[in-house]
Amino acid sequence: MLLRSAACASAGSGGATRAVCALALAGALGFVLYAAPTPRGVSAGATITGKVTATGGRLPDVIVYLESRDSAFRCPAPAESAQISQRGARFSPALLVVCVGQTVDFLNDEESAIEHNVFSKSDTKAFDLGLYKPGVSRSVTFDKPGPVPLACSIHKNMSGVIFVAPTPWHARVADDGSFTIPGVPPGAYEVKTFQRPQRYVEVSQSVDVAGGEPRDVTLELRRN
Amino acid sequence: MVKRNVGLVLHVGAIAALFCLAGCAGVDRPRPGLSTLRVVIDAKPKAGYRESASSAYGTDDTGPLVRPGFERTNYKGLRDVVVVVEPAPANAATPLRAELRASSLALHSGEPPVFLASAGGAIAVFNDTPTPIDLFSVSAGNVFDLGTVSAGGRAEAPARAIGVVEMLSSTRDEPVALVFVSPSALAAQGGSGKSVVFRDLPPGRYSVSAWHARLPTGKAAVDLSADAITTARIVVGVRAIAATDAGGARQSSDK
Repeated sequence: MLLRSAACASAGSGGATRAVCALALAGALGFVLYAAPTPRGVSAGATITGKVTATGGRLPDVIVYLESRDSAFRCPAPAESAQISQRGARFSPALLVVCVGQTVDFLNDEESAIEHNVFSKSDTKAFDLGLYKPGVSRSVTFDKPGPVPLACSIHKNMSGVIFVAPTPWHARVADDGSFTIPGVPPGAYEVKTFQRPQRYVEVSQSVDVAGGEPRDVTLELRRN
Repeated sequence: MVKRNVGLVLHVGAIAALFCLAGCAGVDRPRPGLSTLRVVIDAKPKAGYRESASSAYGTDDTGPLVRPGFERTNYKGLRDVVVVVEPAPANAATPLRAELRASSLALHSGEPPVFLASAGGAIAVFNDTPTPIDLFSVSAGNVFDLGTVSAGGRAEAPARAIGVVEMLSSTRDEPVALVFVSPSALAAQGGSGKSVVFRDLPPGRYSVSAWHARLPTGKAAVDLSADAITTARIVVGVRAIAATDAGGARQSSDK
């Protein structure tokens, strides 16, 4: 199993609060593995917990993330890069969440002489890394929030997605719909969803965080 | 057997789009004072890509890697490319309807077929199977729920917003069909190496694009002259993306 982590340090919207997040990114057999941002030695910041429900069906993979309502908010670029494997003509993890400004290394770690050509035609970030051989890694920095579907120009079944979150505060929703986002600095936010594959209309809900007061949010996914 | 809606013939007032299966050597001349545009779809892999007769790209000690996960994109046989010409002339006012037959949908597995509509048109479904199906969409700007369509039944929804509509069903998590909602009614489907012809267009400058679900969209500007047939070759593939991204793609760690 591939297991890599990237830590990022982010200033809150007030500038005084500092949160540190760690992304644990792992993928095996094409399944999505994800770890929520974890505060490291930070006592300040609230924890947002909640539940995502779906009307008329089961939950797909859902990411819940915070978007600041402060238009001046900028997420400082994380210092470390995240990585995506291409072994076995699979992007692994198949769903990766990074922060705005973060770099992702696309390593061709095939065991045989197989070239890949990673590209995306997304509005968030269009890029073409060209053909490259095993042992070579090429990188892209994601400077805008949003989804970035991935593909390989050679192998028709290679697909994945990077979700570029606007803040470091996000979490993968558990199978029972629960989520926890710790270390959220004071501020005004929208709590939003991102699904893969998308089966419901994405939803958002406003939440104001004051001090370390915990908040609880319920998000209902519907078809319309 | 999956039926595909290639070979679409579009008649929009005095303007016609013809899908040419073999070259269009006999493309009709336009009516006096008007133009004909022939768009050749040119699906290409990355420069440096080595063609191979095997179904996999690469070899190991045991020979060609023929494994399902390594199945390659077939550029020579690429289908489901949508060619769009903008702006549509004022008399091309009839929006396109996508006509989906349930038997052609990827209800349980496989690649979703691609259908074509244009903004202001409709997405119509005919259930030609003996089983009821449920269909809905949550795609931005085109959210609708057709409910359960009984065997032999029909349903439809307006194609409101430009973009790709993922048709969903309870039968699988992935889309069962894609509907490309074109900004222009001057649009038609084609495939690699084939041509789409738009006849009797007013002279002037047009934007032509060729969309594919996985590959980057090729674009070109074309100037049409009166009483002339103009051919535009549009590349579909990663070559349509300008070099590497402006955000700083880089290479490292050669083995």
